[in-house]
Amino acid sequence: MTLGMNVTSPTVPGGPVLEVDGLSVRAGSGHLATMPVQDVSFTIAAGEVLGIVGESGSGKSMTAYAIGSLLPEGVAVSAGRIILEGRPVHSLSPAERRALDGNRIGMVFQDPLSSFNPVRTIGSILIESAMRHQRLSAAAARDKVIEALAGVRLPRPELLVDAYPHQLSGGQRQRAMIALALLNGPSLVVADEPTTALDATVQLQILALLKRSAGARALLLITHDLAVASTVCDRILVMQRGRCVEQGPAAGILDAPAHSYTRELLAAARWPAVFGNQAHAGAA
Amino acid sequence: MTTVVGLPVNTLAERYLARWELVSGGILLAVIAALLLLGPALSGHDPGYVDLQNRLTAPNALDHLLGTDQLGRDLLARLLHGLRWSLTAALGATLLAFATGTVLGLIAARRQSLLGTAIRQVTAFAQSFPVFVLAICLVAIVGNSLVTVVLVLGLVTWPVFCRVVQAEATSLYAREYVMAAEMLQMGQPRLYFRHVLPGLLPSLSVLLAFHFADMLIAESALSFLGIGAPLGAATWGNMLQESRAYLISAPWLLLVPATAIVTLVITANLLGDGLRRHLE
Amino acid sequence: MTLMSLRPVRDLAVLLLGTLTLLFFLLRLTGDPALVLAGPDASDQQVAVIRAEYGLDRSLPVQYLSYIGNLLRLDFGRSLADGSPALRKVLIAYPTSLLLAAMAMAVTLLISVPTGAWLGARRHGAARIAVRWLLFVLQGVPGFVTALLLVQIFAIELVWLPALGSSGLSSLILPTISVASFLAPKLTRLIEANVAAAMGSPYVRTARAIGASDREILWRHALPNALLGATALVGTQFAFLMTGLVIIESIFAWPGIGWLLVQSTTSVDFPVVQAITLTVVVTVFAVNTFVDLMQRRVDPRLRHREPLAPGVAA
Repeated sequence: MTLGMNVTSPTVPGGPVLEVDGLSVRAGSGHLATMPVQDVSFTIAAGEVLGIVGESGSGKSMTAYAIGSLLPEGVAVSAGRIILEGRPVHSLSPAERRALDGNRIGMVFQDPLSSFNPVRTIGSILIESAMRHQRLSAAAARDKVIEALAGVRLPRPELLVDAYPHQLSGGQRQRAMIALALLNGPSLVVADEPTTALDATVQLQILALLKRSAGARALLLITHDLAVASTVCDRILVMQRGRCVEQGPAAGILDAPAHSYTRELLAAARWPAVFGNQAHAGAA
Repeated sequence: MTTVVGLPVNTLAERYLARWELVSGGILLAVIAALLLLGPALSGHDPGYVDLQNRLTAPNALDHLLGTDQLGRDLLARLLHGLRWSLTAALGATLLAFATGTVLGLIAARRQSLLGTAIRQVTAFAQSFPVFVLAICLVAIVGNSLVTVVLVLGLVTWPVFCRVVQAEATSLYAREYVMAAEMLQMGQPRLYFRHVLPGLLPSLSVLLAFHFADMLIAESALSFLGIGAPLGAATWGNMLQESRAYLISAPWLLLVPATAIVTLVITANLLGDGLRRHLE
Repeated sequence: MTLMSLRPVRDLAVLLLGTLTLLFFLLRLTGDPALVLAGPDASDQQVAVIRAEYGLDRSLPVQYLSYIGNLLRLDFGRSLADGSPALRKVLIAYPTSLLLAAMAMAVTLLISVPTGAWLGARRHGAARIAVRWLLFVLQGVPGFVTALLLVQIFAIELVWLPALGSSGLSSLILPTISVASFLAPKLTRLIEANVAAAMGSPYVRTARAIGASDREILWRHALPNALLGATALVGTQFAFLMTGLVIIESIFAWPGIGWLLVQSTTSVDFPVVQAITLTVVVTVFAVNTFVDLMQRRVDPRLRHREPLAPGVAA
């Protein structure tokens, strides 16, 4: 088992891996500015899975991007703090920040087809990441990458390394994306709607893979579907129009939602049969 | 940019730019239209009147606002005559290409018909066919006249419109509301006018502006080469050609028609660009 | 692969047939084809000879077939200007045009690619606005006007460079710049659009997520995709280039096929005209096919069609 084994301990032992305090994000400027995220606070401890749930426009993805320093042009953090492993990261210089991205934080994106460069091999970006953050030679990096691809249960990883994105299925690509996120042993993994673009059967497998590989890391899962959150999350945070409306242990939220919006989301969830916090074993 | 909702800062800047382009293009267009309507009479001279005593006089405010050419003909008058010629040619050619290309494009978008397939093939070939070469051959063979130029340029460039109409119409045909209209067995003309053409209008209007600019350049290039415009006619291309022998002694012979062409082309480009930005 | 390699041949055949048919009807547009082919100074006997030689006294379908047959045997007739074989005349002028075209294309790429990449990556700044403005104005100035202005400034006023002819390297400069000014603005905008699209794409976001710097992103992640997308349009650009050549060669008396074309069309030297038309058509087709093949080899999406490792489900 090569996953989850090389997590370095956080700077503050015993403290949360990620602490978000009063985060606000502003888009645009002047009188036309909007606030996609307003005063959101939460923490994630090592080994914990937090799910941020909300419909589109709720600001959940913006929160994830703020943490991953991937906010688009014209959008920026306007207030609050983001503290990773005891270090404030919202105010780092670009160079310092780049040392963290892909290294202490791993991102998993929604659409694996467009998230991989279509004219480069799957392996190339993983190798690039390994070379940059683990300071390996190309050959050594390649071996590490093959290991990582094997770790996410991809068949024939030594072939896949040289394959192009369009040659893989959606599920295979997402597994590769997860391998990329985990490659350098990050302490935090942020997954933005990782299963939305996949077939129903594949979704369960990928969620199980995520949960399993999270292991001793902190995992932040963004989703619009409470059912998805219910399968893997320990705690759930509900967002509506940029604000946090409810936050707490998954079971509590699902069994006894306090806020009316949460109740609406529950009603819209797709798999009423899988409520309860079950991680799906099996094919994963 | 990403799938995340956020206000792209560019739209404001884009909208201002679009507005600026349309306004400045519109002002220039108005000026040009005024000059067009007033015609060569504005200069007080006849464009063809040869006055060898006053040849090659520099621009002055007294008699000849833009000077005279090597045969003493007033440059302003010739310029305005050339304006009429170029505008007529470019407009005629554009409209002809537009009409032909749109009709053929609509037919080509119908996957089932044989004619449609044939048109699609021809359009694909035409994309890399050096049509200007063909235009030169045709005009040279048929003869020099305004009508020839309009016909040739129009009939040679229809693939430009055909391609765009074909692509857009195909996607429009596939849309539900059009399919529904078809199922209701709406008559073909009504189908096109009510449902398909309005959808095509945005990209077509942009294309019209740019194609007009291209036709302007093509026409003046042709007349510069001595093809299309009768010898001695007051067209900008002719004027440019005639200016070549007097580049040292009378540079205004070059600058007057050159500025005119550039201004007209930039006007068309401004309008096209502004439209495109506005409609995006 | 064998079936694929036959397709260009079929396309070429259709293209040639279409062009030849077009020329066939062109010849008949002006009246008696024999008169056109023989020239205005020919005597009645010479016209009769031509008529018999080309089978112009027979029925239309037979004429068509013999015309096609002649051209397929590469017999384009003799130039009316000097009596030399039309095809030979064209082929002599051909390399001269190629030289100018190649130089112009090289200069264009040298300018367009870096400028387009810079504009596409950099979305703000006064410098950017200034450059875009310059490009806009340049695009509004037709190639031959630029050429004339250049001649005015550099050849007449400053007497730095020759205005005409093809002797020596210095005479190559002005024509090359003229053609490049014709092509560069459009190509630059194309590359800019492609680079901007690439920079805003999801896979660039992935690259940022693994800590790539702006420079690495531009060079390693965005530019390859942008350029790949731009090569698809090389075909149309090349046809555009041929257009520019015709005019520019005429201005500089550069003895290539463009100049020859204008001369022969104004003097209605039909044998040469048809030779040039066919040569140009074949050249453009060859360039397009070549670019197509290159794309197939370089673009992974076209090269590998089969899915890999269907093994484990997802």
